[in-house]
Amino acid sequence: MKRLLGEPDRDAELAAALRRADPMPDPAGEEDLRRSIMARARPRLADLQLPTGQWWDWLSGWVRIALPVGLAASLAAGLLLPHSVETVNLVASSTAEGGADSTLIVAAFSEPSARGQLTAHLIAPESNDWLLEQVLTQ
Amino acid sequence: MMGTQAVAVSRGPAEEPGDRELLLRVQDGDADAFDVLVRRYLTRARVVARRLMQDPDDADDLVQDAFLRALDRIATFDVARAFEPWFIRLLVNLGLDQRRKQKVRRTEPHDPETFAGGVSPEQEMERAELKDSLGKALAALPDRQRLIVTLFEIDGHSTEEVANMLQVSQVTIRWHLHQARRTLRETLKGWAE
Repeated sequence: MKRLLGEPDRDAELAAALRRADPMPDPAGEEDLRRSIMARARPRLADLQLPTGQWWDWLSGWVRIALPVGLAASLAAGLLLPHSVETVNLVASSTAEGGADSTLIVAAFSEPSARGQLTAHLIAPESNDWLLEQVLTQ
Repeated sequence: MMGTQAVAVSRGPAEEPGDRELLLRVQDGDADAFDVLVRRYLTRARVVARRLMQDPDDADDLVQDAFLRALDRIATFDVARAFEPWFIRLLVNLGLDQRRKQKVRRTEPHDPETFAGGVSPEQEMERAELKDSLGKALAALPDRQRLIVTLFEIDGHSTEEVANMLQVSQVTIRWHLHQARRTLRETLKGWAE
């Protein structure tokens, strides 16, 4: 187990014997092999070559991305914009109503005559005509 | 390593650009840069391929395939990394795949005659003796073990470097190394007696 944990010592005798028996490749064939590798590599190297780098290449590259992104953005804007305008209007009107309600509350506390008006606004009018009207319409 | 020396002798080290610069140029499709890279690592690749494939023609085919495969992947290669371990790993993986396919196709043992190379008569005699013992033992080793023991003992790589090349753990490398050495030492002992 110990020999598997540490770096093994070099065996000079075995290394020398192995060196003598090590099958070395024939150097004569090396140049032919290199030429053969290069011949087969050239089409692959041509594929790796960069584009010319003109501005229209850059533009055409970006158009592929920019076009769908622009379309998606305009579509989303078309769907979301009317909804958001509606929300803004709703908020604005409720704020105005809120303002009116608070005016009434202030008035009710300052003037006793305005109390009936406040009750009519918050709960129901003092007369029961409104109830009759509701029943008849339904 | 050996390829670098060969190029340095023929062209002079001052003219040689670094791997990083060459790789950047190859990524742009520069054929001259790729040619320099091929020259630089060809000998080294052939040595490793020869050990793995045993048959010289198969070894050269493997080297060719490895360079072309490297070129196919060069666009995504991080040039900050060292090229050689990445390339040798690619070559070894390709070689091991091919060896597996070969074993499926033919199961007869390898002819040790293919180990012969161009050497002097004295060396030839010595080699002939080794061919009958150590050569056969080397050829009989599993592909991975043969590669590991030669990378460690002959080329002087550390187990960490070999593990990085073959993408296995250092413990696995040491285990294979131990097994291969044991087999080869037995053979060597018998040959010396």
